[in-house]
Amino acid sequence: MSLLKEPDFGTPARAGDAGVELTIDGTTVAVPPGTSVMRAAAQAGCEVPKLCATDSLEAFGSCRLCVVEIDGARGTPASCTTPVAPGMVVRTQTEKLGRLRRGVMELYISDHPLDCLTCSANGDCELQDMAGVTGLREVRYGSGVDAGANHMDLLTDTSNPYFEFDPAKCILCSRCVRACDEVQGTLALTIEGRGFDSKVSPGAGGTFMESDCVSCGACVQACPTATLQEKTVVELGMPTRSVITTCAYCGVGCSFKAELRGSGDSTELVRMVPYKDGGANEGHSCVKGRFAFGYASHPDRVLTPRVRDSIADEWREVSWEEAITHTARRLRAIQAEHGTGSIGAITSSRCTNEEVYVVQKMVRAAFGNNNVDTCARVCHSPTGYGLNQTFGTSAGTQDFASVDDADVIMVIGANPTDAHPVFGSRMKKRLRQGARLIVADPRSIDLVRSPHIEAAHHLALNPGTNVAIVNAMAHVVVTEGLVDREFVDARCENIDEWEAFIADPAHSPEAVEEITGVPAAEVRAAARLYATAGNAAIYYGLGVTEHSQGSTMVMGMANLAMATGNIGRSGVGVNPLRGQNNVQGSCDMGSFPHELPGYRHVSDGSVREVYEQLWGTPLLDEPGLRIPNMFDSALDGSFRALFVQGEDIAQSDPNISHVHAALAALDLVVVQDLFVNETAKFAHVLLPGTSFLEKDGTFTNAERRINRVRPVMAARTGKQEWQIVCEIAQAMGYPMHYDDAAQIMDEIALTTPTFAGVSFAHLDAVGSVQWPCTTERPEGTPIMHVDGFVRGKGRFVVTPYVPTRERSNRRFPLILTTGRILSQYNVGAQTRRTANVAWHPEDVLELHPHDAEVRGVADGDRVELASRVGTTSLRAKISDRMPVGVCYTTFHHPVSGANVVTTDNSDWATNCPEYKVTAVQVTPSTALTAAAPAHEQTSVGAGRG
Amino acid sequence: MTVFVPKDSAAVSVGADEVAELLARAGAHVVRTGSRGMLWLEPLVEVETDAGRVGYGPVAPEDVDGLVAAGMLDGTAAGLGPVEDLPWMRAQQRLTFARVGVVDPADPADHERHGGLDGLRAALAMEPADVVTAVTDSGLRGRGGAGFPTGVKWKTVAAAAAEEKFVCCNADEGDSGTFADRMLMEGDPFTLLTGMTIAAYAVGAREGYVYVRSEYPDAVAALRTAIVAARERGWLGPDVLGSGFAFDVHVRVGAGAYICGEETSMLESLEGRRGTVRPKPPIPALEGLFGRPTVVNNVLSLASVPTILADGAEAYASLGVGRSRGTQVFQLGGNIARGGVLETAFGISLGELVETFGGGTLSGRPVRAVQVGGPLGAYLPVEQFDLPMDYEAFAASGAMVGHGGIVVFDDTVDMSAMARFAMEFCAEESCGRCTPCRIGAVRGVETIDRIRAGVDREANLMLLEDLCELMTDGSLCAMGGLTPLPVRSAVTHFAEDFR
Amino acid sequence: MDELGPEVRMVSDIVVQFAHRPADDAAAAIAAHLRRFWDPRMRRRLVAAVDAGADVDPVVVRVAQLLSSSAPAS
Repeated sequence: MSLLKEPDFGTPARAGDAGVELTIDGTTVAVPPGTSVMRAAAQAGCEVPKLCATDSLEAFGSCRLCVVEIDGARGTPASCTTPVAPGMVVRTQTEKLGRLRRGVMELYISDHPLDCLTCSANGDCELQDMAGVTGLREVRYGSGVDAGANHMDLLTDTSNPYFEFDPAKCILCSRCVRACDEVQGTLALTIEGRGFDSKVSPGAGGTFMESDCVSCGACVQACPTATLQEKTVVELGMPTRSVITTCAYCGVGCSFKAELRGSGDSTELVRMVPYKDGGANEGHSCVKGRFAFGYASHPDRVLTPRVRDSIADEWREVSWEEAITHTARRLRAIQAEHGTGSIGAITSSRCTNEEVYVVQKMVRAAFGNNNVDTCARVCHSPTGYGLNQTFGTSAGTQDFASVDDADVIMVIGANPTDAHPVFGSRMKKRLRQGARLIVADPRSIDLVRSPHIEAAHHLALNPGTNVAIVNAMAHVVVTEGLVDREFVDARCENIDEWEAFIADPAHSPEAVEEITGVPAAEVRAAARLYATAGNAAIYYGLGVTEHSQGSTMVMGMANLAMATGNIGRSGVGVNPLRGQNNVQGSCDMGSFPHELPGYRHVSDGSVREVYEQLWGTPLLDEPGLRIPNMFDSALDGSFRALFVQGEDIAQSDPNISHVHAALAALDLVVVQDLFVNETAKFAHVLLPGTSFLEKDGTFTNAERRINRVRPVMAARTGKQEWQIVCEIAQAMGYPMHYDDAAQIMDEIALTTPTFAGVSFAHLDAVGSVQWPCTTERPEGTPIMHVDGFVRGKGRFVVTPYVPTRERSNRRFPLILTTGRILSQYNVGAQTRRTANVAWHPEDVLELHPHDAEVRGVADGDRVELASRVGTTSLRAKISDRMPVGVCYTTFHHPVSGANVVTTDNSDWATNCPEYKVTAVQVTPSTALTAAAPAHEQTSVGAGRG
Repeated sequence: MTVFVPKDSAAVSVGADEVAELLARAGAHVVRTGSRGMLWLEPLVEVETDAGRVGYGPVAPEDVDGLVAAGMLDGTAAGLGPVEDLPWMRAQQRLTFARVGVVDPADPADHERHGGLDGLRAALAMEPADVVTAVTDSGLRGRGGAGFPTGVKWKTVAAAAAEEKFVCCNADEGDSGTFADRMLMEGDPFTLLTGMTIAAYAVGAREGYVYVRSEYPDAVAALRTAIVAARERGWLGPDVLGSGFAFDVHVRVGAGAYICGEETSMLESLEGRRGTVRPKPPIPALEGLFGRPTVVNNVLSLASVPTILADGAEAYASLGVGRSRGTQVFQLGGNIARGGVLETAFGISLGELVETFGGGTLSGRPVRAVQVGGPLGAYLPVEQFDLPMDYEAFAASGAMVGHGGIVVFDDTVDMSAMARFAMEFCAEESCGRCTPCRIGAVRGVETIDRIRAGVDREANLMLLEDLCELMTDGSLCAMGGLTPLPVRSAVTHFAEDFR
Repeated sequence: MDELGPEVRMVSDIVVQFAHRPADDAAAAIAAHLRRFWDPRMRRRLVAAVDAGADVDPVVVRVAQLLSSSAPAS
């Protein structure tokens, strides 16, 4: 594909029927009311010259290039700010308009460097294009020594690691400022000064890095000139071709145009530009997806397979053939000695659906057991359990666009502006339009108060008391007569048992105030708002699931949504914000030890039969081991070998010393990854993986949207990951072959009813689909449970509040909770290998000023963080975002070892670890002490906590 | 005995406060009023007599003792005679300004005694729609300069369905040579408040704002005093004059930007943002302040409404010519013998205003050019002195009535410098949003400089004309759009200054 | 508690979630849950721990009985 330039209609589309008919340059066109003349003209094929208009932003009317003549209207109105009217007769090209447009361009160019040939935007500059379109042939205002006043001496701001700002080339169209306001919602940019002295300014006149800029790239994308330009374009030059693909960071699943130079081996990725037709992001991006792709070419990449006999040995580089044969032989040998069930695998939510599918197939068909689990175990497994129990599907109910119709947004245990920034921006846009906001989070996240947004209620609950809060809200709904009877009677079951349970005064906001720490009146007000203010939508994250009551909380939210009728239409729903790019997909693909693809239990004979037929081998009907069970079984000797696909369990899983002991106890650890990660230190075989730029397949995002991942370049390792897995299976004696990734998807579609309509060809044709996507509904299902619940009737589940066994005490008086920051991603394997470290060079411990003061801790001090399982050292950040008694850190840097202190408490139903509640003590420390387990933990296999 | 001394800031600037104090010390009962508008007579002291008010002026502080000794306080000292009989006063039709210079602007009772509430009472007795009709029938057009029919604007706002509507008074009187808004606000603020109240009643607004430029502290103080008094008397508040209609007014002070006199910039500024122009549509009548339907009118437009309601639309419409009905308040300034404010029916000729009222130049030299309608108004030569004051006649001559400001220049003026000044003013005051104004004004100054320096004169004159066309037809608002008016008129009528 | 093995800790976490239901009812639901989600070796270790006389909730004893008496996952 050549370089893809998406059409720009100048102003945003308006909703509604194309009911307004008008004539533009003799062509009749019909558009919805409220559409601009400019957009209508573009649709009629009469493109009007423009500079300040772009269809991601509301019309601004400043450049005056887009003037038109309209019969009966005075003068020459700007077509961008003039709405269409029935019967309007518009002319876009007249002698007079041509003169005016040339006049505007003449003014622009009189204050613009004439260095087009050496400019980084040469060939991709709208100013250049418009000079051509308008036929500008001379600038009569003087140049060189005769030049008039100008801005060409202004200095370039290179402070941002990814883009530069050259105000000398700025044409003051305000597209950057408006993109920051309207699209991103950060409001970091402004126009400083007046008249000819106006200039774009980040914040109060400092540099971009000193400002509130979050480096989302919206301004760079909006800039029509070289003023805001990617440094890679400055350095490398203009890309020449594009490949549409999907970001591999968070669960939003943004579509990007990978813009490239060269071909074959010389392919160079110049930049990633968000794709306007991307269903999830609609042209927006964040600092990670937009800029942080440099890790794919980082020298740390492992490109050749490695093998060693013992983890004490040095690595030996080997051929693919040797690595695969060795792996297969060792796996079979271990099974021969310790039994079929002694080996297993962990799939990665970072990998494609196709890559995950083949791993679980290898486990079930070649290994002959069900010991396959996925890293979703440690993030959203309670979502799967809870939503399945109540609604009948293990997935969120809405598409992202649904938030545009929400009247009340309740964010629980999620921090979208940091962890899901592109969706966070969409949510903020809706909030700025007037939707009300309820935030339930111990920490005062950005959403609680940010420009033009303020939460109506911030329920700053004690960590671990989610269920008490959601039950109290439901109690208010039930006891104050706010239940949507019509909805509940028609569409739900078990309401009586649940109502009897929830109406118990023990669940009233007043009764649980002591537990949650949230004033009862605040909970009542929030519940009333949620129940009565129109469309109410719940968005939640790991602050819900990563608790010992994670599954209960998911069901509690589902109960609340059902009781108020907030399911089954746009603007409502219960929506998990997935952490990783393919959490949804890896779960869909049968990564759980108890489920075949499509969430069908292994004990279901009719489902097994489908696979047994196709795969030609009998399948086990009993669930296998989950990740924590694998570790436990490794320590008791019944589990001996583990294949780990692209996941760093030795850094990301809780109670790390326990994990390390378990890994050390295994006879064989096979790691497939981009880098020598922490887990690889325990590995015997290292199989180099491919970055998302090399993969061919699909990712499924948090809204069940299946997006294509297209190879931007050939696999730098020489093999696709799914090929490696197939070859291991083959070497183990199980025939497993696909010609390409599309064939894998075809098999998924063939065997999984909810994917029946999916194929690469279909995705390439329509862009993306949201499952269920069947042959009857090839367009997919943006919103679920519209006419009825997937399980038939929505089921109310009784949700008792059971406190975690993790309590603060005199020794560990504080509660530690964990989260993410915008610029970094999970264990940081990728983002730490990019310039994103400029924003977050280390993990810090956020501490309330009071808690800091009583401990003699000052901002920036090194402190020791200790729990009953381990100790680590971090720098303290005094922050009034924290409530007293609660501290917070991120887990992006292995050196900080946040998971040294987290415990092995877990969700009762799914064993999802309780990352979010750890009793800790914080003490000042002088030296950097390496992360270490608590003393009683040092001997492998000793009693755990 | 009662004497009247203006408190108008023009009078104060020439010593009215000292004069008032000396008169009080001399035993007079001093009432501070607005100014009659005869600024060459300020401080103009008026003494109440059986024959009406007799005037003395200008009265310098050092003149007071002598005048008192000569019997000024009985009205017997030699002076100007009855003020109402002065030719300047007799030649006017003072409707909007009827009470300015007469009443104590801080005294609501005085206002009411002089018939100040008649219009509001009449309006409240009518249906709101009938009030709109009356204003439409009166022919009143926007006195801020654009001349848009006020009744039509009100009708649009009245017809807009919204829970909240606003009435905003534009008192950011930034045009050079204009001061009528200030004199009305200082001299008769209740009339403005009453006009706003009638507008609000007519369109269904409950809240009003007066946006006053920061250079007018005395007007701000006068308005604030009047608002407090009006609330106390129930002229503003939850139950205006016992009608059940609720309306209140707030004063907001600008921050010194000329562009905030442009209505959409003013709305931006009122909302607390940078004063930059908004594109229209949407028009403020439908999406104005905080996105709500809003009446935005100039001080004089709103202050003309009470007289229209009090005396009837017909009486008002009977004055004037063509489609310019009623009266206009003119302000004479610059190089003029008798400067000040006067109100008369449309149709009076430019020459009458400059010569008859103004008495020609102050320097005594021949008049060469007159700029009408502020810094963005056209320069007219003496040959056009027979032009009647009429929106359409002026427009046909490439000029505008604007806000009624008239600035006079004698034969020493260099019109190329004046053209340059017009561009410079635009460059200085441009908000910077649209290209023709932001860059064009700066290039306009540079181009005129080249012309004045004799560089490529013909080519640069052609470039200047192209630029003027672009600014006129391409600018986002009237700021850039009208700047070419003085420039082109100077080039057209005074071409010799550009050779 | 962990001296008894992770299975006893995990089942205890589950038992409290079903505390609002009658013991037999709860035991049946928990046994069904374990059959659905636990690897057979974990269920065996649980039964073994209970058989070895671990000090556990009576419901856990009942669960262990159900697990050792009935067929595997339904």
